[in-house]
Amino acid sequence: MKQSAKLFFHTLFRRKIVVVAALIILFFFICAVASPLLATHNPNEMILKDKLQGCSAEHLLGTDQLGRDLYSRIVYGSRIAFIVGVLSVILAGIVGTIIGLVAGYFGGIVDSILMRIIEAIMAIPSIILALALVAIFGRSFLMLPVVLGVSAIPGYARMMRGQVLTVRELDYVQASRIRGNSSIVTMAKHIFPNCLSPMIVIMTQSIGSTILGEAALSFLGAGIEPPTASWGAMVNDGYKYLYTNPGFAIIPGVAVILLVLAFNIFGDGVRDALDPRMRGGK
Amino acid sequence: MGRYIVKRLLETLVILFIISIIAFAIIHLIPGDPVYIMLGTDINQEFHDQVYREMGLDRPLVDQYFYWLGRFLTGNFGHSYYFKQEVSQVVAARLPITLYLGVFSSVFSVVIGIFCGVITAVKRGTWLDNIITVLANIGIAMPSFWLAMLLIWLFGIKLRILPTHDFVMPSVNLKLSLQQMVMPVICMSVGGVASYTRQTRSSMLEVIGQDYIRTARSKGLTESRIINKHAIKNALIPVLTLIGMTLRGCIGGSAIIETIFNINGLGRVMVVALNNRDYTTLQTGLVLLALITCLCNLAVDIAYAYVDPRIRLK
Amino acid sequence: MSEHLLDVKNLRTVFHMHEGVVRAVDDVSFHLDEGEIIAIVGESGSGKSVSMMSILKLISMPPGEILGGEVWFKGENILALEKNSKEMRSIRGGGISMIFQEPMTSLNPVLTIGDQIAESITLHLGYSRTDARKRTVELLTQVGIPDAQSRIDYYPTQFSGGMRQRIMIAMAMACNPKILIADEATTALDVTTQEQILELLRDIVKQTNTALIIITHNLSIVARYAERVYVMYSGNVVEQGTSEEVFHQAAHPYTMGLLNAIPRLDSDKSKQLVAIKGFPPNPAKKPEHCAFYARCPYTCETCTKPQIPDAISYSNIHTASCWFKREQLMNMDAQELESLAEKTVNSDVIMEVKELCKEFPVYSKGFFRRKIGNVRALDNVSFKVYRGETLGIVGESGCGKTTLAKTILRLYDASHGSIVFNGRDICKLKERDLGDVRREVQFIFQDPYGSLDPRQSAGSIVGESLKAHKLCKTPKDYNRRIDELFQAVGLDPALKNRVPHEFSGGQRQRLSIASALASDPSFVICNEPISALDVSIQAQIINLLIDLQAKRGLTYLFIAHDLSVVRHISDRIVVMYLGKVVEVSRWDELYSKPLHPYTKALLSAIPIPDPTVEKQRVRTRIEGEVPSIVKRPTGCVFHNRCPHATERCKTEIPQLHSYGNEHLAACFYAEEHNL
Repeated sequence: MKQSAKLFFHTLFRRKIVVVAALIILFFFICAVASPLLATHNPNEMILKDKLQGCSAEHLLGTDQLGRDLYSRIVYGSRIAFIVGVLSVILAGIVGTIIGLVAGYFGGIVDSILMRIIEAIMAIPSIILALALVAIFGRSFLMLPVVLGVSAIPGYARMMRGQVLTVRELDYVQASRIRGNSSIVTMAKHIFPNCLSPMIVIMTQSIGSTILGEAALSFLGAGIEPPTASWGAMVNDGYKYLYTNPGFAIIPGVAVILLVLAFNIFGDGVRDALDPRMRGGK
Repeated sequence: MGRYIVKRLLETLVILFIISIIAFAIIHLIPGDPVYIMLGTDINQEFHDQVYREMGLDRPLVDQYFYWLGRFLTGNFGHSYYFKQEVSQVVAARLPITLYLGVFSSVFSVVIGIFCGVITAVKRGTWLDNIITVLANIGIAMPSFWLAMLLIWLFGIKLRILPTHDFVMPSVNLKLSLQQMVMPVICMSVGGVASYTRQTRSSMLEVIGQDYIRTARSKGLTESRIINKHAIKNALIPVLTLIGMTLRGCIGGSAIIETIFNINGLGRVMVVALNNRDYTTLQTGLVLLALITCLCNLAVDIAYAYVDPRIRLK
Repeated sequence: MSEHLLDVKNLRTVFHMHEGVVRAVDDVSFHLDEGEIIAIVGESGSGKSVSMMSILKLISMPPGEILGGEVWFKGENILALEKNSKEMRSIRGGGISMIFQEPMTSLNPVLTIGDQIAESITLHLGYSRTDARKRTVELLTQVGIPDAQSRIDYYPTQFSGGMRQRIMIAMAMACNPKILIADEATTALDVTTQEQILELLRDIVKQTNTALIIITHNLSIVARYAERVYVMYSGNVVEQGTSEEVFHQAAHPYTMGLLNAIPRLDSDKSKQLVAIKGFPPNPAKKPEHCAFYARCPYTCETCTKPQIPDAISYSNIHTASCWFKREQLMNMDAQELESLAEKTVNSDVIMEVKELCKEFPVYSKGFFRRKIGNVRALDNVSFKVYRGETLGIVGESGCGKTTLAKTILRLYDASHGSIVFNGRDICKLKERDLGDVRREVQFIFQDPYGSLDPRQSAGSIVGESLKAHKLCKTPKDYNRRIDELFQAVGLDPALKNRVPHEFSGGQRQRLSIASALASDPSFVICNEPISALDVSIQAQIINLLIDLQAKRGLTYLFIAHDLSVVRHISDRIVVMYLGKVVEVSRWDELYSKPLHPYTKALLSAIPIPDPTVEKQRVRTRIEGEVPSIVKRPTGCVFHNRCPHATERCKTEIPQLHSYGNEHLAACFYAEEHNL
């Protein structure tokens, strides 16, 4: 077992770009965890007389329209990105996995109904769906991951279902039944663990798009309630000042791109590392 | 083949049915009395009750649904209290714009994306591959609204060569329309181009490793013939699924771009309607967008069956 | 320059892989004359396919690299040509063409077969589109595709495996090449289809005077078709000569080992199979000395010299690369034969299958999937199994042997009939009462790669039954049992924490066997347990199975398509075709006095690894392919391929009659001539 883990990490970090991506993620993670230590100012403190300043020694990246320090807001914003992004993926992942598992294993009418519902959700544009859910459930910190997750659930459910359908027919699953294991034991011991790796891959890969989704929601004014700093909201705020302080809108966007890019590349690396063909052995 | 299409059509109907229920339910899920939320609380009781009845809210839930469904299917989409017009007018003015831009962006993404994807696969490992792949990765990571702002700042403010607001259909003013189209289309396509490039690349690489390509090589065919005739068609099959998703993204996701560029399209109207709780517009818009998505998916499925003889012949 | 049509000299190809440089082809030389049929024999890692791909420059470079050598073809060294140059491309398909192993994936699924064949013709012969099409129809007819004129516009999915291979042959022969290379071209096909394809190949190349290179691991095919043979091991040619020389006067220990390890249709079973010990070589870790050293039963000090043994000539064609001469090897004491235990067979019936039927529903393709009919995978199958014996089940694809196994194991529910095991009808047991049956009746899978959960440790896989049936009271007991099982199948218990992909194919199959034995079953169903293994490993597993049977008093149901192997291991044999039992007999009678025409055809189709015997064999060929079970013929299931079919055979179903000595057959022709 330890052998597998070693091989996994070795293959994962074989490519330099994946290492760089991991470091970027780590950097932002540290920002999120140690925000008070890294920020220079209180992100919500408004000093109106200092509003809309450019980069200076005191305000590394300038200030926003309410005099708040942009650099500190970006540092604190990484919290939102991580919490919302990762939490949403985990929640959606769990729900999607269960739906996929049930649909794939039981098949028949259960499968048909679940799949039609999933496809219906997929047919609704995700932004609209997210906005509608925000209207229904509100903008609290905890609801946001749920809202963002809902449009991701169908993707996970379909992937899991596909995996279950494939794995179910494999010899070792039948072997488990022949050796005397019940259906439940077989599902838990053999089917589920072997379906997990593609799920982990797409979950890692979708953290990026979830962060983008949060940014989009915030941009439309439906994200985290102000004054909490969120990168998307900052871009929204900066939009009005594009003529005078372009940096205000553009810099938070760069933060989004960096983190999303890092997660995407890392996700690709995880996929390659879990793929038995890439592991340098057989 | 016919049976396959019929099957997909029936499935689409089921999906639309489910969506209609969701659309209908939104009114009742958002907390509060719908009429007061729509019109504000400072209307008199009589007006409130009148509107309440007009919207059929006094009936039992199931009845309401069929009442709404019946009117919907006969083309009576109701009255928009926010826009102060019939919903059909609200939609009719804006749907063509969204469709026009959406289809244009989709086609653009598909063509450029597939082209880039094929090149990166064929020239794997070269500097061209590396550059395009890096750009594609950035393209996927980029929020479209951020790119919009960047472009607006660059071309609209600094260089002043492109308009930054509004949109007219080409029939009204061709030159202006084309100028106005450049930035929104670019923003809407970036994500698509990037995804297509990546998907086509990985699809091509997988196809190139297949046995039948080895057979084609063993017959002495030229590389270009192998790529063009043998590989591409097979590689496009998984990419087709992506086209369905992109169409969906372009049409539904246009909301943000339309808002930024102040384009009077259906996406923006939906956001406005949602924020102002204009339920009637919201319901109609939702079903319409979903309908368009389903039709796109259906078209993709049919294309699928056409391209892959294995599906056609099953 | 050379007087041969193809003269390969000192070819060396390597692959630059993550774990090092793999010397796939390490100084290989061979030649071929016009119209000759030669065979290149070897197992996995021998380099036989890579050699051919190197000649045509079809390997991907990187990671491959051709280090050196010369390939003289029609007076030119084609190895010096650029990979994608016009000259090289005109040789591919035009001068030398190749057909591959997997007919299912070797044709482009989105292009018509006519298109795929015609494009070579227009490219190499410069024909116009219409002329190319005409020639394509000719070729398709020549290879036996019925109705070629209309089927030329069909897609590959519309053809069966055998048909697709014929299409591949047509494609390869389209431009009148001088040489045709068949790389394991029949390995993926049914036995009778294999014979048809090989005969077709031989007929075509003889007609057109094309030289043929047969690449295979199957020595029996070599004996039947090849004029000269090259035996390869780990990237080198270890022996070469005429067929007779190599088979009758083998001079290299590897060749000798192979010949002793394969069961023959005409051997008496008094001689046991001698397995080649050890594992197939890992091309990434090729030693400097003789590559066969680790597995050779005749080694001594000289063999560790860091150099590939020089070739010793025995005639002007026959050479072998070994430090010892043949006479010396004959006089050396080979290492001890493993002594296999003796088994006893009772007259006690442990299992009786009676009129077993299994049907699968067929659904229409509309939105509402209505049942429009049934497919009969098993049709009134009846037979007895005696305690302690090995009952072989033989048949080609669609015969129902796998369905039979799964129905006995209750992975499927029978539609009709009974399976009485130790006095109880398995079919009638409820799911929760199956516990006992699942302990007593076990299964060994065909695929050593798919049958082990890649995420479980080897020990956990082997102990699965122990946990499922709660057979061990304490962890110490459990560990002890696991160790015992590992040792019983010849594996080191220290390996029990490794995961499946760290084991070789043969080792995985041993793990499968250990896992099946964990619950101490009395009845084991072996489903093609060796067909996915290398030839040199197959004998190891067969011997292991025989040994375990004797030691533990097991009863085997041995399912396979390879009649030679089945004959070797079985006491009695059941022959199945399209879901029906067509013949049952003791092992010796089946081969000396086959009664059913299908059995005779099967036996005919299987070559014997002895060229002299092969030349004298009288064979019966059957036409057509195994039909799909969806479209079963009426009356006798075999009538549309049977040379003796009459009107009666089309309408009436023959029943199993006894012909004395426990020999049963279901055939009207046999009735008329034997009763």
